[in-house]
Amino acid sequence: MKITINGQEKTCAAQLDIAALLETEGYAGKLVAVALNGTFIPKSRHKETILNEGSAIEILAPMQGG
Amino acid sequence: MIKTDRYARQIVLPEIGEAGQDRLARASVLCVGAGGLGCPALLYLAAAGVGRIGVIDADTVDLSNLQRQVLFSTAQVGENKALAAAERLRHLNPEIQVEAYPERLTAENSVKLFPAYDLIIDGTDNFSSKFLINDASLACGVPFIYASILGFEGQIGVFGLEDGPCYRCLFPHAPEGDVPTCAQAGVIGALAGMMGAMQAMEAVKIIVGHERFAPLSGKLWTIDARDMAPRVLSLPRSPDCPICHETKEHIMFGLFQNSSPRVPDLSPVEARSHSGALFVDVREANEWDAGHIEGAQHFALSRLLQGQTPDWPKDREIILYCAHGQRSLQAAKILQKQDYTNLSNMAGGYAAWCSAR
Repeated sequence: MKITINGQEKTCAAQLDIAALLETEGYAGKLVAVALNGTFIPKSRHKETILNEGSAIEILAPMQGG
Repeated sequence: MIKTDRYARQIVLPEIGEAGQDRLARASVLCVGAGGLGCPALLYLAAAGVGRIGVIDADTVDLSNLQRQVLFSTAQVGENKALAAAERLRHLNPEIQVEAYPERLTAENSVKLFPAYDLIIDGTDNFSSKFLINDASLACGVPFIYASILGFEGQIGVFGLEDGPCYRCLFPHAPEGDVPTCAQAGVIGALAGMMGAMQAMEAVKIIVGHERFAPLSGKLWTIDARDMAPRVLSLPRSPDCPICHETKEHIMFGLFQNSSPRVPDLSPVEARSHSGALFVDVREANEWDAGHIEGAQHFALSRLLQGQTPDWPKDREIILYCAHGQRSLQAAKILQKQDYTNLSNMAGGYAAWCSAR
């Protein structure tokens, strides 16, 4: 199915959850915040949150500049 | 008596008016860091007539700062930033009071300074200061306007406002290892200007409090200036947040515990694999009765705080947990002082344990 990650369209397996998506995208073990369709999803819900066709994902790394 | 000529262009706005201008004049804002974000934020706050402005920064002006830190002139290279900023702001608007603190923000001075202001602006450039501002802001009950910039990207949000989220709802802790700074990865000055001006805009909105103003609380606004694509992401309070479900007293205690050796965090999944470890629940009896980890022992933080001592072997591997991970960290700090040598804190607490099942 097709989803978007940070505005870029991608094809991924059906029934993928957020935790599995982070693993396939190379974010395993990295500290990131993830929003699904415009709302941040707490890490404890990543495994139970299943993506759908057209899901829009934002992956944000912490940023410290000022 | 407000000198209305200076503020005529904003008093004419129906959302501001004389009443809003009076609120600005009676308001106080502390800006932590007079850098790329702090400089534009401070300029707009002073120009708008915010009655009392504080600036805290231990750094001195460097030539490489001038590309984005627009408060300073070339002649001020080498001067302390807080003092140099205050001088410039007093020239810009002699009607306001400016207080300079040429020192580094610490747990000690943050809890003294923050309650003396209505709002905090996070103009810092490092994670330890950002988490310190977050925790001190929650402990003192003073909201803060967060922003970060790097390269062409920026993010901004309002934290600690009423029932809104905090910075740890977004990122529970600082990342391990090396994360680029502006010195390493670079930053474009105009982006710092945009984000700092937005922080001032949010401050004005919160201070004036007009019903048509919606501050960026419960939201994170991000921008990539390369294509000017903004995103507004909804950020509810997180059930995983290690801090903002705790009492102000606990948060205050936690602020001053960071100096002792670090207690390692274990995720619930990692904790489960430590089969020989002793799990200790430090929540109160009613919480324990409502459900706990099988095989765990109960020893409430309140008993530790009263000076009661458990009698576990000092070298036993002990994994502490509470509801969300903050009280157990406090308990770990106390047990460290009782010479327990093999302590871990279960990140996210019993809530995370249950949802990881």
